[in-house]
Amino acid sequence: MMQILLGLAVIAMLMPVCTLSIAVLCRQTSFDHQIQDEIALTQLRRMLIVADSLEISGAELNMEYQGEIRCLQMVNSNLIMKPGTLIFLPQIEDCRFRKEGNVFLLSWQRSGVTQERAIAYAP
Amino acid sequence: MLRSRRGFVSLFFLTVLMLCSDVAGILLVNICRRAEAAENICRANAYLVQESAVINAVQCSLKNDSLKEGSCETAGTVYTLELTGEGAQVQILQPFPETLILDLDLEEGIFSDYEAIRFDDVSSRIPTTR
Repeated sequence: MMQILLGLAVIAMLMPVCTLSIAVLCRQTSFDHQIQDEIALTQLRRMLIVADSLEISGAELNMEYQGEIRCLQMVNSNLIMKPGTLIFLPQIEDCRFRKEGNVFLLSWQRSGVTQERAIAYAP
Repeated sequence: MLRSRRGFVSLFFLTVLMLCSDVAGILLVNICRRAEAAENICRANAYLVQESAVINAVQCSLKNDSLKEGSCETAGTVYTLELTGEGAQVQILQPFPETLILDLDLEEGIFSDYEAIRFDDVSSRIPTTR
């Protein structure tokens, strides 16, 4: 009887530690949008270096890329390049383009947090 | 029959210590990987900035029909340009040495794509096993 109680006491004492550990591990191993977004934006910047005739039209960024007219816009909560379905930023709530001087800026909102990055330079 | 329960406290704390060590180890590895990814992204962006400056300058010269071979400097980036049969080859000397192979149509004045050869590529830094 004593041993059972002792075992239960050990389990009860270890439970909070285990719960906390699992919570921390779950948070740490969850999908990291921050790094993924930065990688996607680096790829987008590389494409926009090659692109020509960048032009903001409402919530879209139009360009000429390798002889084709392409458009970067938000469709179904994803920032995609059309024609096609090349997804750059998934699961976003809002997306806007603006030009400040010679720099094109992209701002997007995910989980209520708005971020903005420079994506292209057009002298 | 007497049973000794000495060591129960130390065993309990040993278990907690091992658990905490494991979690701390996993967290540390995770943080290291994220830091490495962030460093790689920073490096890639630094390369892109100089590539953008060089390509803008080349495109400008191409459109003005004044593309010439030789050493040039634009926006703090020093490079040498060499025209080839399929386009041009650019050797960036500063700030980050690399080679760009540009696909250009010199007659039409069209820049279509480029390939970058970076000397500090991650693949070239993988140690070889002996």
